[in-house]
Amino acid sequence: MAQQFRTTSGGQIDRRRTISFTFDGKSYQGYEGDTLASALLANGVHLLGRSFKYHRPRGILTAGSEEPNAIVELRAGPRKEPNTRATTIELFDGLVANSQNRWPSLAFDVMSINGLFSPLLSAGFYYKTFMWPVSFWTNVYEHVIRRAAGLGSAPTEADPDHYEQCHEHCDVLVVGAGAAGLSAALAAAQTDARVILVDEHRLLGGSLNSENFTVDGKAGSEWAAEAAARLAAMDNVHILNRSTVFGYYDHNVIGAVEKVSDHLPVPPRGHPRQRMWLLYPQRVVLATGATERPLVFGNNDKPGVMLASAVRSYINAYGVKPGKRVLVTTNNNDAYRTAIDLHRAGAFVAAVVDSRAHPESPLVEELKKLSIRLITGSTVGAAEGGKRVKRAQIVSTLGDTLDPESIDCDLIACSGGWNPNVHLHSQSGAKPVYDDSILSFVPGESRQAETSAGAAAGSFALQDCLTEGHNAGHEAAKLAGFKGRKGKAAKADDEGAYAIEALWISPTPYNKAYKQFVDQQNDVKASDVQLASQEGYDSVELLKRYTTQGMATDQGKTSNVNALAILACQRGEPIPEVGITTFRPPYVPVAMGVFAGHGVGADFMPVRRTAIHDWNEKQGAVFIEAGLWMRARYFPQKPGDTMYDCYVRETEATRNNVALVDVTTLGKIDIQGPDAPEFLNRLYINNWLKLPVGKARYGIMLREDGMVYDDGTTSRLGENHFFMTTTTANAAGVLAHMEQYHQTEWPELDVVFCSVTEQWTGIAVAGPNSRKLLEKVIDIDISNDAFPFMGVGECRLNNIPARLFRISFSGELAYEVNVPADYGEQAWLELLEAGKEMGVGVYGTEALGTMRIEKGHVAGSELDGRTTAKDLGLEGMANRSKHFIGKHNSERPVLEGEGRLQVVGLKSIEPDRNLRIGAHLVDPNTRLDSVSQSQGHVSATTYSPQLGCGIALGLLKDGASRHGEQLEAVFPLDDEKLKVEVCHPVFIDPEGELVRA
Amino acid sequence: MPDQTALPPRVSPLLPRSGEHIVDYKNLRLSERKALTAIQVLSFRDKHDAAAAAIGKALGIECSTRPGVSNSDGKTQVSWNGPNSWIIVASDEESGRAPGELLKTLQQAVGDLGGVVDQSHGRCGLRLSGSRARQVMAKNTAIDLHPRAFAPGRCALTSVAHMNASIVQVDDAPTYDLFVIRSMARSFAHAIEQACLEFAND
Repeated sequence: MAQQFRTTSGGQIDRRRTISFTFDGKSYQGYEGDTLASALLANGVHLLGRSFKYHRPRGILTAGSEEPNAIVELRAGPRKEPNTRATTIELFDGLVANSQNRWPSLAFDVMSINGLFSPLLSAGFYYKTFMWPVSFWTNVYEHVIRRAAGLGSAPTEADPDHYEQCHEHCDVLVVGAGAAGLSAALAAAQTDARVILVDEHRLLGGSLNSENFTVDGKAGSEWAAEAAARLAAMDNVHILNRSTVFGYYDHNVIGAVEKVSDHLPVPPRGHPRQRMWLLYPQRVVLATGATERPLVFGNNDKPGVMLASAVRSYINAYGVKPGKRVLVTTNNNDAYRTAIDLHRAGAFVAAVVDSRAHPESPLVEELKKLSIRLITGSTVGAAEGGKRVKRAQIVSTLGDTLDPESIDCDLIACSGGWNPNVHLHSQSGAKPVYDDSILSFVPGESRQAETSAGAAAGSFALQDCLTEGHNAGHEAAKLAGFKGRKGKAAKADDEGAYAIEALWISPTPYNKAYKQFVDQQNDVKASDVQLASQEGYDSVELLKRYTTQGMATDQGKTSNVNALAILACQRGEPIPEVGITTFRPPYVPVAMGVFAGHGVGADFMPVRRTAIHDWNEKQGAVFIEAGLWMRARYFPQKPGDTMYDCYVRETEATRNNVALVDVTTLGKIDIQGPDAPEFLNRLYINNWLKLPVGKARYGIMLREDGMVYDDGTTSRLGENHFFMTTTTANAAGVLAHMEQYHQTEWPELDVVFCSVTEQWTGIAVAGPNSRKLLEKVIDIDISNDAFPFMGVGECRLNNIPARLFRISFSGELAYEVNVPADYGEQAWLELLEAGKEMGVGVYGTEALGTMRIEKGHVAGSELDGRTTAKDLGLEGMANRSKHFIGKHNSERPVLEGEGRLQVVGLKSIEPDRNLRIGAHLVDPNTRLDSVSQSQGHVSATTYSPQLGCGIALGLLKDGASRHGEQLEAVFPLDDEKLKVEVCHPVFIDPEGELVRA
Repeated sequence: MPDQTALPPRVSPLLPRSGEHIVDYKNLRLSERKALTAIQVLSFRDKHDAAAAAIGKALGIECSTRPGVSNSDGKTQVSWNGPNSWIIVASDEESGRAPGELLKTLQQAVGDLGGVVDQSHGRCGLRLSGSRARQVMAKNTAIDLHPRAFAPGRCALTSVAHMNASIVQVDDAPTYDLFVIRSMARSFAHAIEQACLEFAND
């Protein structure tokens, strides 16, 4: 019969909307509003999975996000999500879920044999059982253990869904929309404060939806729905349902995850599956409620053992009877409500078993009125049954040695008391404190702008929740600067006080050894906690790591306090002495996708494109990433063209004729002001005061430690106006460097500067025919006399306004044209058009690199942060009679002595073999394994079409004085050796005649 | 004086599109503000107030020295752009100025009170408008754009979609002008477009 465990009425489900779903391949039906757990229970399914270590059958313990057992694989294919809690999955049509950690089937699991070997699998078993032989650990044991102990399996395909992040600020953030949270939000909102209310469920109301409460004369759930509707109608309130606050960070930054589309089979187009919220509230009210503790008795992990409050949730919120014949066991008043609700729902309550000798409460009287059997001074010693509870053995808690009474039941509803959810409070940096009256931890002194209210603060009575929430909400708004009236909190019916007496471990029938689970998700038993303590792991932090208690995906929400208490008993100390572990984010497991958000795949980083990018792309250029920039690396001309073919061709075109290269990515900084020359004089090692207007100069900057930082040319456009270029890599860094020195060291200098990298497209025109080409399009006289090497001028390229610089990186006669970027592609096309008849070429960064190596220009691979101007052969540029950044440290004696790595040229003296970047330079015949003999390394390599051999730049010990020596360049990773000759780093045109021609 | 009218057409850094808008939904519209003139002014030492006054006088728009303020006459925006800097943005077409005129006006007005730098080709301007615009922005920036915190006449230099950008609120629709460096324009527009997608079927 379908849904035979459904009640006839009640619950926040829509009985008109039937939903079909499958679990482990079998089809079932539920209703809209169900969770997967409630729908399975409605169908009488209690066995949902196998446990982590012992593969014991497990069912549903809770009705919320604290669930340790009922974890399943949701969906299939690339949307498969392992380790999702059946208790939080909203049912949708066509939902597919599968149990985990079982083989070949859930009902018959081979690995359950592990249970028989449990003495081998005790606390810290992997530290001590698999010690020998040592080599077996990584090769055998670890694999076997990992395979055997794993839970769900990850999908192998990429997640097809989209995730995103969202930011929101507010005056008051209320976390949790139960009685306290709704009251707090209402009180804060009526002061006109901006309020965000976050709750993990679909419906607001928290326990008001799962209990039979009366508020302001109405059913609690009705009051909650009305409060939610009132809040939703207010402009200053933002309700985030289906959202869980998972992290409380510094400066009151709160992280929450919203399950936007998890309740749907597939997210609607454009909608994310989940959304991360970063919330920035002024004040936070934590109305996070409380979590019930299970009791620790024998076989307390059997399917059919459930928290008493969860049983009420299933009855009242979902209209499901989780059992027909129920036993309730408790050490506090609260569970009595479960017996009453079960009775009303038509289930048979076999007995309420209370560990206390003399329980007192109006609820006790009510129980008597309903003629429900009450057994005091007793508790469940052990549950019995196979894959479902069949009976409970009742033992005395008062030391009596009577034979245990056996009571038949299919459900044991247990309550070991309540733990305030102090997780976020603890994450905020505060320290929870122990409260003896509730045998649990309550929030301590606040460290950030937060306060806890209601059950989260240890106040379990409904009226207290409503009142505290109301006060906290109003106070939070007031502290955020809002002065609205306070009003009154809602009124709840009196229910009697919460009272509890400690029962941390149940006695077992006949003192037999049973497995009494503390942490059900990680299969940690009471005996493991005791053993850890006996073995000396008796601090809470050590206990946690040794036994793995609290380290599963549920972070021990149902087990932490029980474990602490058992440890305290073992140590013979009160619980506060034992302490508490620190709670860390995330409060619930959060998928990595939502942290990554939009930034995955092609959107991982923004891409920077030059104005010539599209042209490059159309030409089939192969690109290289330079930081965020995409630069054309080389241009294949025909199928099968290798990079080598291309750069050789492009280099030859430049050296023999003329070619264009896109140099837009170089950093460009506009510098203006009366003190601009002085500013440059301090930034660079060389002289700047006397640079004439209309001239460029090459400059070197050092870091404060005396090492070379960056190089480039700077041009004087006007008396007080300069234009600096930096390397692509250091464009942002140099600007920041300048800002720092101007703001902190030399604020007296009257100079302003800003990046203009983006304003200009830079095109280098290089090669012996470059002047000939440019003369056709440039409107100023660029003859060698009128526009000599290092000349700078404003001009027009046809009708495009431009700046022309006669500078050369290739060593050829060359110019750089800058045009406003929106004209960049046009300028490029016009240059190509003008050069068509002379066969103008284009080149990419590979040929650029080849030519700079041939010319011996140092670049990033030589400016590696460890080289001085002297090491690079550039010391001649420095003017040591002035002050500049890094001057003092560059004069340290240690940098003057012998043994410095200095830049050299290297030539392969083996035919057809090129050098490798990173190869070590060693004396010939050095053994490959003794690179400690390294005398330096190869920093940049290429084949030189000009020289017809492999060449390189390298950094070699005292290299400047070793030209002509023969060494070996060795690459031990690939067993490579190559004979090389050391030479001057400038391979071509050492006198610089070409650039001045 | 070169013939300005002979300038070639300016090429947008964004991908060519068939329609006028990048996003055109019922409650959301994203479009490029094409061929903008954007002039950055950086005041010299102790000349901040004088430079502000000079800009204000030349344009007839108040140039505020307060951070995060943007004033406009409906055609030209004068926005705070850092501790000693403003950026003046206008569409020549809308303001009826000849190309280069705004630069010249500002150079003359500012004189030796500061540096005037043409950034027109270095910035891409996008306009996001509609009742969902604030939600789209919330996906991309941590700045509080709630009407109580941010209104027309306000601007911010911040990170939008993990890229450096400036935001100027234009009206209560709300309409935001977003400026990003040219080279990142496509990545930026793509990110905003993606954030809009959720509201396609409003």
